[in-house]
Amino acid sequence: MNTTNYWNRRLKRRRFVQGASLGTAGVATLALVGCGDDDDDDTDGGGTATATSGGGGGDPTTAATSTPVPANEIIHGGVGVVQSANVYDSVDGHRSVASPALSVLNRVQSKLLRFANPNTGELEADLAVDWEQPSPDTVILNIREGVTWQEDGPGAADPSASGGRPLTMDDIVWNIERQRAALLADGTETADMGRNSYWSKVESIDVAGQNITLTLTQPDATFVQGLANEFNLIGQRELIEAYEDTNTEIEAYKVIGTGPFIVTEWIPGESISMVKNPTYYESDKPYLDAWRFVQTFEDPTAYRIAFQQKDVDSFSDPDPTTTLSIVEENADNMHVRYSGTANTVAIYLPRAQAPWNNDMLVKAIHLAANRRELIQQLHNGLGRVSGPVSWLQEAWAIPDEELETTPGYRIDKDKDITEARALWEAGGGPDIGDVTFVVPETWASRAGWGATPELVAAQFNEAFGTSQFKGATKGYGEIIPAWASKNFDPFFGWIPNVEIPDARADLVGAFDSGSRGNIWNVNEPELVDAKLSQAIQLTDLDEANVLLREVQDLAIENGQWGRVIMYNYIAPTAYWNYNKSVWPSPEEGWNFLATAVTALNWWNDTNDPSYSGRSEPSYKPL
Amino acid sequence: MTDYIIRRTLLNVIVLWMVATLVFFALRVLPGNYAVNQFAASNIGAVTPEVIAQAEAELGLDKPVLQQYREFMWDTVRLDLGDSFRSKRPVWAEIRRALPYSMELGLLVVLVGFSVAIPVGIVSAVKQDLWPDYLLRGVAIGALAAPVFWTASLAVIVVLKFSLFRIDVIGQPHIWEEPQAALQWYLIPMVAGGLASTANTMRLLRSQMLEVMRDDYVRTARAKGLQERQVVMRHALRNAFLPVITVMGLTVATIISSQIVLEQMFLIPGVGRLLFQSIFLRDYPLTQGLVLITTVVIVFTNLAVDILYGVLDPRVRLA
Repeated sequence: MNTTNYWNRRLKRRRFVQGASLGTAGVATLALVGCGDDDDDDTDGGGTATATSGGGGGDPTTAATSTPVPANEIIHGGVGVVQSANVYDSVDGHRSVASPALSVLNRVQSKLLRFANPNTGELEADLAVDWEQPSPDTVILNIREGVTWQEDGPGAADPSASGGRPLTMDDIVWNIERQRAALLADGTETADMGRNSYWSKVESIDVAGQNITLTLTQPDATFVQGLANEFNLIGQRELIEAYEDTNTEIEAYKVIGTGPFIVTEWIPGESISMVKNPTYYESDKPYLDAWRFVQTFEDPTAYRIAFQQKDVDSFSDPDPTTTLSIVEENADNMHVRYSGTANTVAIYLPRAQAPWNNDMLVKAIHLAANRRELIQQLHNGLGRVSGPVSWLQEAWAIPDEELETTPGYRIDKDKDITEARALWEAGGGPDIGDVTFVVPETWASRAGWGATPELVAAQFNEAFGTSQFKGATKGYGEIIPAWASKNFDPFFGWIPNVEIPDARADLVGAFDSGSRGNIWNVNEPELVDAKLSQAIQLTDLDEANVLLREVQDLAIENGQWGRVIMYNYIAPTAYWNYNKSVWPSPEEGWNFLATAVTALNWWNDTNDPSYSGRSEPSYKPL
Repeated sequence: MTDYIIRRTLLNVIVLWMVATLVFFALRVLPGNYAVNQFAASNIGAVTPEVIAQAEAELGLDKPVLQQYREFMWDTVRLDLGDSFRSKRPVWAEIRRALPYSMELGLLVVLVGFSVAIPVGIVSAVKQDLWPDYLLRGVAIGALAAPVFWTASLAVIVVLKFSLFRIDVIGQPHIWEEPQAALQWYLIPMVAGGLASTANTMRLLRSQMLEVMRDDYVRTARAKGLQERQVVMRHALRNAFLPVITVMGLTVATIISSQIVLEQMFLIPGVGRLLFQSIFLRDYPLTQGLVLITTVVIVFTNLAVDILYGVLDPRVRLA
């Protein structure tokens, strides 16, 4: 990604949109700030991806852009402090489906590969020091020698664990086979083995020396990138099986790994301590002596107090203006980074049921949805519209310039709305009665987002000259099962569509006629299934991109079949200047899959003037 | 007196049963449950109906509601409040950890509140319709009108802007462990909360004082030649205080159990914050336990206030 062009592009468009839609001075101030960053703790799932390459390569279209720090500048030691999550679902990485647990486990346990640059998908060695995909259905991994399980800490001291023993090829095979079978030690099936669908792609596993060969059930060029997915952790069989029945009861002694940190304390919602693993296989890393996760800040006041007193190293308020104003007040000592949020915002329409089985109505909603207006209203202009593939997956997404003239995404919104209204009326929209858009409670409870149901409804009422659109809120407890049944209310909110930088598997999951995630009854064997199937097998990314683009164009032509992707907003995070790490560019942070890169590369510059007054945080030692 | 206490205690038990029943069913009427909410921060694509069903079974949420209710009531009778869904620790342990923080904050709020309300109420009554009365009533109404989070937020901005003192939201020290750090941490919430609770007590005391000051026995006391201070403090205040004590008792119980906003803002891991989290996550055992304990505190504080009322005023017959 060309950083200069990226920033210039964003600035120009946001200014334009502001002038067209809102034109308020306050928002204009924000617009000048730019976009695109991460939060160090923003972790997200991941699942498939780019093929090819061995020994540390990514693909040529997504070359690394991260800015490494010269080794002689790095100061080792110290403690990184971030806030903890409130809820952790499991100590078993295979069975956790939640990002918070993975943000801990990814610091403690290794994966076979990891992302050197999560934004582009560039891979680097982790437990596998070399990898290749000699054919689309074969992946060969060369596993690092001399790796040992952590020797110290509560996990190693647990009677069930084998602390200090060498990592074996059997360990790797067991981790794969367990997830592939989704069976517990006693042979019972379990539903929470979240990566079962990914590992089910493995037909056979062959071990020869330090090499492990995975033969896939069908050619899949996206498989290798999935190995770096944060879900694909390598845990120790003895300890995991000992606590299979109590894996949801979070305790530090239930966790051991081969990763850079040893967890010494894990009290959900209160405190987590992780101490540098002295036997970690990369001798120069990690840079920090320890991580401390402090209590969850449900209220921004406490978070702000802690950050401004340097009790935590980063700060992100739900209201971006608060974050930016703090940085502005302390411009000499703080900086801000912008990251796209991996939870895409979308509208889901229940295309499997009337009246939404009428494609004219579906397309009318797609066209009328005013994405840029919502970005202004809800996110202070910090966001970018996304096509069927999110802009986070930049190598696969429709470029911004093209989206600006694409139906539904046009800068000239009046044209979209004129077409939308004609379709709405032709499809009998005025006669379908009330349409209630459901917004998740967790969305509506965020500061400044409470009016979202009304805003979304108002958009369509205005576009169609009606008053039949309403807004409501519901919990995901009701929403998710309803999606699975394909019988749900029109929805607006976060959706799961971004797994890893490679977008191919995500589109297969959404639109393939045989996919469980295809809740819109998309059934296009020739135009969608065949093309996606072919794309996912191609190691030539340009060819694959052409096919994926054809599917995206078809989706847009059909109102995205009710899976109406809107945008990905951008969250600013404030950091003290003493806080250093590897970042994709001077102003950008990681958009997703950031835990491993953060854990290894984070360090505190004690010579920076902003470090003055920071007291060294306490943590539970080994 | 003993009969009265026994009768009231039995009534309190009925109240507790009704509250327990109400909170049990109210929680289950709310949409969503912990089995789903624990995944709120997740990649929701991984949260399939099967995963939710498995989690519900592990938490016992797949059982019929009436069966859950019977088990809950039976456990409650045996003083077993169950384990928190989130922490998997016993609810009693969670409460034991949170209660001291709420007690500390609550008592400090009460201390500030009453130490301001009582002298202000007296002065305002004695100086009725003079400028001190207008000023103090104006301030009291202002304190009542200002939301506690607004006052506290303003104070935080000032403290941080001028680096006045350190607020240790991370260390969370108890007063008996690190008095200075704890008092710095509690200072803003105790003042903000105290001022907010001042107004009602002050206004009630003022009106009671004004009423009492016109009574015959006060006139008699003055006629005896007592100093005005003795008349006010010894004769008027003691009688004016009776209804105020009732309000104070309820205020204490409420303050200790309901500082949700202040606890959230200052990361005080007390009962209020725990209750907020447990409701948000639909942590049924914890919410039920906290509501029950809060109810116990309130109903028995009420009882204690009534008993105290009788002690202070022999005319009140309890039996």
